[in-house]
Amino acid sequence: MSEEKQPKSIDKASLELLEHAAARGLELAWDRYESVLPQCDFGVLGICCKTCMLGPCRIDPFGEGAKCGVCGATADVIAARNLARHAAAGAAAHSDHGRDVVRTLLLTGLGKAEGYQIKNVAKLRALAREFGISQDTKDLSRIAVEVAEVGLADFGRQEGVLRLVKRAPQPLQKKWEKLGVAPTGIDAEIVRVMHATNMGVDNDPIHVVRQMIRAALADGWGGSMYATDVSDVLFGGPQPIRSQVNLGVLRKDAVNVVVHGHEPSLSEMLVAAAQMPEVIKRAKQAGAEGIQLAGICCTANEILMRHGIPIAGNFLQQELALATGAVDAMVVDVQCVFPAAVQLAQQYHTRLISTSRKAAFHGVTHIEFDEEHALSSAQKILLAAIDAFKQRDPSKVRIPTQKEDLVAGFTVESIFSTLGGLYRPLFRPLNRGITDGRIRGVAGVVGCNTVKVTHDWGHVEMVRELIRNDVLVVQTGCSAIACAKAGLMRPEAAELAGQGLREICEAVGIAPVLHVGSCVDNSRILLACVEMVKEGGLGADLSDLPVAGAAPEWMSEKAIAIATYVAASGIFTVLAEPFPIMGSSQVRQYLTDGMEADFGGKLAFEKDPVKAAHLMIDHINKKRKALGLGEMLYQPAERARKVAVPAGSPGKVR
Amino acid sequence: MRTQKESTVVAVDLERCLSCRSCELACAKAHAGFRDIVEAILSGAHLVPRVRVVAAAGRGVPVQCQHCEDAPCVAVCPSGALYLDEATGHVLAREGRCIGCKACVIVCPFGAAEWDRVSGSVGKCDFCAGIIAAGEEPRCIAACPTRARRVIRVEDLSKRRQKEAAARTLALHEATAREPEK
Repeated sequence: MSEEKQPKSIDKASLELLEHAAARGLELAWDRYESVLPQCDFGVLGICCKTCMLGPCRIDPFGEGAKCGVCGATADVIAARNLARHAAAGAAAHSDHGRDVVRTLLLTGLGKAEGYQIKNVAKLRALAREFGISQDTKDLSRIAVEVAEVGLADFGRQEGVLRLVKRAPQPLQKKWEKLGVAPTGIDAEIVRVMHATNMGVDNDPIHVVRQMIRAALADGWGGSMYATDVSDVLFGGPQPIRSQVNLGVLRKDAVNVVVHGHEPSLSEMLVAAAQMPEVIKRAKQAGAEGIQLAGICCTANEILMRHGIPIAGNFLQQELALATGAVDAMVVDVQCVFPAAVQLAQQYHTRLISTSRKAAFHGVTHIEFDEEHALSSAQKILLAAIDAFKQRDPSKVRIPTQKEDLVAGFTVESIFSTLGGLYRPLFRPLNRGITDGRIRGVAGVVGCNTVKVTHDWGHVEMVRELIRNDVLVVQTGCSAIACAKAGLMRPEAAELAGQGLREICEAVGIAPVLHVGSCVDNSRILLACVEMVKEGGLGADLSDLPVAGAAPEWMSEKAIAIATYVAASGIFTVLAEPFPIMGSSQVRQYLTDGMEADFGGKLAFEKDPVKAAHLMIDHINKKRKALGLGEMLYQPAERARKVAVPAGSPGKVR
Repeated sequence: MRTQKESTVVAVDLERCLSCRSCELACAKAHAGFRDIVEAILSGAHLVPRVRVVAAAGRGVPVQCQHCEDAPCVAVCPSGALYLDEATGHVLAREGRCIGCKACVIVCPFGAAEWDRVSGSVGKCDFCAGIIAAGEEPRCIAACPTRARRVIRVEDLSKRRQKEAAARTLALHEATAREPEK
């Protein structure tokens, strides 16, 4: 592999600020990456065990030295345990977020949540119906309380099976039951993994992996799904909505408030508070034209989907946003917030405001957010931002001009309302597009950014290759933000799609790449697949569908949980960075091969995004063939390499 | 005639060595032509390190070929497989010449010549010959996360030791010279 320096990003706004930051001597994630090199290969391979203090034990990957740890755990046991703990941590992050949203619904029903209301009555009623809650009463609050209580009980459930798991197709539920991976309680499954991976408990690597799968399923079909569904109830079901994305959405003349993190409860209230006349008046008194809210990471996706609030950037742009010198307050809650943001914000007037009782940052303003005083907290935060605006130094401000249009707001309910019309089945046009050979299949491309891959390049390169081959792409998280910045979420992007996909996009006026939300909203993708099966003509289980998943720039433990539940739901999933298990042939073999016989889905690891796209396309073709679908109507066009490719050789893996 | 311009050794600061064995892995990868550990493992290549972190009294001590000037392994090698490279001063092995007599294994005071059953020949540190020729550091050096391992020019080392000794001597002198005045 060549050691040539890879570009840090393909995004022009980011490159401009990277240069600016370097000139100002600011330290960014990319610099810190250089300073931690070389990274430990035992960690890469997952064969370092720190589970107990007989160790740390490391297995010789070359098979000559230590073949097992002091306790006798082999590389296979160690790698499986380590991975299971990562997945449990990821599932915990999504699920604790889900719990808080359900709790907000409870408090709203009880009339104790300041500022919140039930915005999506239809979805509340649908959940009540699903949970068998009587709707005789006209009192919506009562129904909200009962739905929330059922939901919260699922977190602490001690027996039986999670309610939302019953949404899966019957054959899939049967597979889970047979393998003993049908999740019981969300909390219990995470605790069980932590127990099973203790020193001297579960010592069969594949059994450990199955326990991990159960916890991951409790995330995908539990914690994350509750987060999505109940957020839709409280904050409204998203509808297709126009907005803009990239650092150029920040304004010289406005108080810029950047929300960064994951939970929508607070950001929803910030959206409300930013529209309050007295708040706007205060901003004007301070000399600003108004308040500009913008988001980073999944908080951004949540308020984009529901309110069209613009997105400042994705994960690796959090520091770049600060380096604009134009952010008056960065409001953070949980997950993916760099500890380094504190020092960087201190270089500017920027007020970093922590808000979660779960996440403290030393030396920042803490305005604790609780659901019972939500609107007041939001107001307080905005007033602090206005205060900071007065100290903004215009000579330090550097806002890139780049901002791109996008359409977001697609959900299972709204995704094809444009496609199907109000009174027709929503998924019929999609399924028909697939059976007719215009759409090859559907891919979910999701996940983070990583300094190991040129920023945004993995996402954009993969997605362009997929749509060129008539694969409709649905996206969440920072992957969605990457492709939105590259212009792929504008209806005009249809011209980059293959002829068949292009015809459908142009007929309905949608982009070939659809934004379906935040990382907990990957549950929307699962449910969209369920609807495709229900619609008929594409098999009886998710594993029959011509679909695939990918995370081309993943880095978080949450991604490990997601990839695991997606694959265990029957969907072939490609990851760029390998899971840290490659030192175990048994675990590697199971995840990349053996799993398929059990679940119908499996994982693959491929760092080249175009090669990865073709693994997905091959898989989709295989499924099309198994379904007896005919040839595609059109051959894919020649590959045009103009937008996404950074200068230099192929294989831009840092 | 030696054409060598300088003598280099790998020196390890034992205070900084955390026994992480990164040098071992980097060495094995380098000699199989890999940088990425996952690619190396998946390739099925024969991976053998030529540096070892050896446990001694509860600590880890990296041990490897010292590239001796009057190298016993070179002296006993009957096939001419091992030789002292005149240009670099490094003890190298000619591929394919080893007859497997293991004499070098017997005489090496550092255990740095290791018999490799799989390849049927003796393997030893080559100071990453090809890699340093391309202008890079030896891989075990580049891989050390605490920079405990360094390539040091012996001439520089002597100079540094001389300076340290001079400073010590002076300090001792001043301490003893001042006392009688009181």
